[in-house]
Amino acid sequence: MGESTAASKATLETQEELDAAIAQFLGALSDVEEGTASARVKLEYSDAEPLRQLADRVNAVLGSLHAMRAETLSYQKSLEEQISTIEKQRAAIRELSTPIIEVWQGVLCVPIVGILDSSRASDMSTALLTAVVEKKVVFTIIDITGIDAMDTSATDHFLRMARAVKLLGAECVLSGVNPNVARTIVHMGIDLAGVQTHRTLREALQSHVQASREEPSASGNEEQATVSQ
Amino acid sequence: MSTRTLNEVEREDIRRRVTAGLAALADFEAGDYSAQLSVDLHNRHPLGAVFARINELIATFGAEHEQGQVFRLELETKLQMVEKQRAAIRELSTPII
Repeated sequence: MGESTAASKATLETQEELDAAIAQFLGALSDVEEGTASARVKLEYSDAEPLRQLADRVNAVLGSLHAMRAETLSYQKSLEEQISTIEKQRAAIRELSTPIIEVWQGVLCVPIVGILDSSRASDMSTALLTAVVEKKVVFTIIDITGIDAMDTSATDHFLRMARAVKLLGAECVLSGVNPNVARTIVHMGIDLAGVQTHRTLREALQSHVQASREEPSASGNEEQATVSQ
Repeated sequence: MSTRTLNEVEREDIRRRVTAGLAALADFEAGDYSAQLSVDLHNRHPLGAVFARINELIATFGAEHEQGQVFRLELETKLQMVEKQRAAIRELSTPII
């Protein structure tokens, strides 16, 4: 039986066998360079042959390389999936984080929940200013009930937003200022002059409704005063 | 092709070279991806070409291992970000005004 003879051969004896063994190594190893990590060195000698021991070790490395490539590919695939998920979630967050609700005719409410960073503040400003123009808004309430803490940069964002709204001819107030946020604002010495604040959204809305009820009579009185002059 | 029988000196030389190669491979298996088998360029022994290829294999393994680690770390960061975003979405999805 030729096969069993070759398999049972203890060690390589001739130059021809050595050349054949080296060709086996070089063949398998050049396959790796081409990206085929499934290649293996096949030597039909017993464990006593040093080159067989070397072949076993090389085959173990090739096996590990094959497994590692599969693992890397799986990481890469998962990474691509996660990047796609992150993009989708980022879009969802952008949409969710700038809800602009028309609570009354010409009155917008912007409830803010979570952390306000520069990117979110910028998105929010754009969405708010667009809505102010499109809906012919006269009064805007930025509600920060959902914000536990506020730093200088967040306060600065609100002030800029309020000024931009005012430039478009609408009024802008801040509601939902909790004691923690109030303490921070005072502690940081931030001047909120020019921006009206209210404890709750309800109070801000009430204040506007009351002011708009008084306005027609006030303008009526002005008309009357003009006529009487 | 020669059918010449290898003499004892040649066999001993092969044994010695392979033993050194196995030691370097053991270092590699222990995590030293900079391990290299000694390639004697002055003596053009046929095993020199094999060892040079094994060294290339080790270098490939090391580079791909590093790339895999970069992907793994990046994946961990992205997974953390996905979780943070999920938490933010949960929070943002339930505003009670």
